[in-house]
Amino acid sequence: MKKIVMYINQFYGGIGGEEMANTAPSIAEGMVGPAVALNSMLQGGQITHTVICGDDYMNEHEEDSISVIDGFLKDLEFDLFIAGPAFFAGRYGVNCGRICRYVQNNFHVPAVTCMYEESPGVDMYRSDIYILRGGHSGASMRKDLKKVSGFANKLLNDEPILWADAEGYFPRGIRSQIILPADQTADKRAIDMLLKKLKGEPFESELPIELLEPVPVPPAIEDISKARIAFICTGGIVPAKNPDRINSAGATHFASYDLPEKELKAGEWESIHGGYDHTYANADPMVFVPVDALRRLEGEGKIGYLHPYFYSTTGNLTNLKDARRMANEIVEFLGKDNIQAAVLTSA
Amino acid sequence: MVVEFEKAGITTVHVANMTPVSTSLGCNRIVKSYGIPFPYCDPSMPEEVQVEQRYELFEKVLRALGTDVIESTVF
Repeated sequence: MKKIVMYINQFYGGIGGEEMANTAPSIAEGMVGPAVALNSMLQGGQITHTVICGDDYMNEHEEDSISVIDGFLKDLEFDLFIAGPAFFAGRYGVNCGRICRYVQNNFHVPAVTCMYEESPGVDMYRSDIYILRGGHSGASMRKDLKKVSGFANKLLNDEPILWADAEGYFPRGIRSQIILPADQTADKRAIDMLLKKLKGEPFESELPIELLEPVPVPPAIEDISKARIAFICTGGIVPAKNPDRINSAGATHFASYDLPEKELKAGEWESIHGGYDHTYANADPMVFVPVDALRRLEGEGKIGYLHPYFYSTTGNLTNLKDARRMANEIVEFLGKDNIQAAVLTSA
Repeated sequence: MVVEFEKAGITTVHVANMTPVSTSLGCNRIVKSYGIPFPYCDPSMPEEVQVEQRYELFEKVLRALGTDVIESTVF
């Protein structure tokens, strides 16, 4: 019976929510959280251990976490490593990708994870490991576990792994040659595709060419003491009771608030971001919007001009289209005030 | 959002904790924050220290704004 080690975060590990995101890695014998259901779907393999790590902890202490987990795994025998599923979660997705790549490279076993296509972990790790296409939220857990188990079973039973779309993982950029039957040679496929294109029918390129538009790096500000600077925050800092109803996840709009003369006071402001523990931000909103520092630097003549408003929204599970649109709406406001520099602070 | 600001020609600094994500998205000037729930200072420190931490981190932001870069740089 082949052996599997699974990696999950503090939430799925039953340790706690955001307030426990700073939990250091630990390893449990046996199955914890989703490992239980996943194990029941596996054929020819058994999850022997579950590694649990806080989402903030691994992001803030990357080297330490990996070194500790390496220590856990060093004396274990295992044939496969599975992490997640992470759905759309930013930190969890990145951590799953990161630990899978490490384990694959250092323990020489296949590593598999699963997450939603807009999770930042996909672009960062898709070329290194198998990342299965997962659902948007925890509601997809069952479906994603089925996908993971189906793929894991192929690996456990030494079945051939097909190309990305056939298996449901994100393309890794690896091309393998397969021989198609005589009636599907390249010349015939090319003519078929051309005919479709000419008739205006839908067709799928066999090799999608992505044209990335290079973005020129904006120039350094020559004299900061004359610079016109604006502050934007996606940490979800809003006036108490969130009068503008900024979403705690999947934000579609932002609000602009007067940049105070001196400070942001606890009690007058709160955090409504759904992706981190609010304790610190609620006790002192200036951990996200450092008004005292901004005004001090302005008073010392180190900043030329501060835009009179700061822009506030949440960066938690924001979809790309909305994020781009909000940014461009803010650009318009900044343009009207001749702002040359912007500082965007994320959680 | 940072990439959209940069496309518009606005010199931008991303203050973030997950700096590899920022780089992978194409941000050019990045300053690493103290932590995911507390970017500008360490809440376990006494208040006077936190005040100075916020000031110094923003000074770093200003330095990043004033530095020429040709690719994603974490300050």
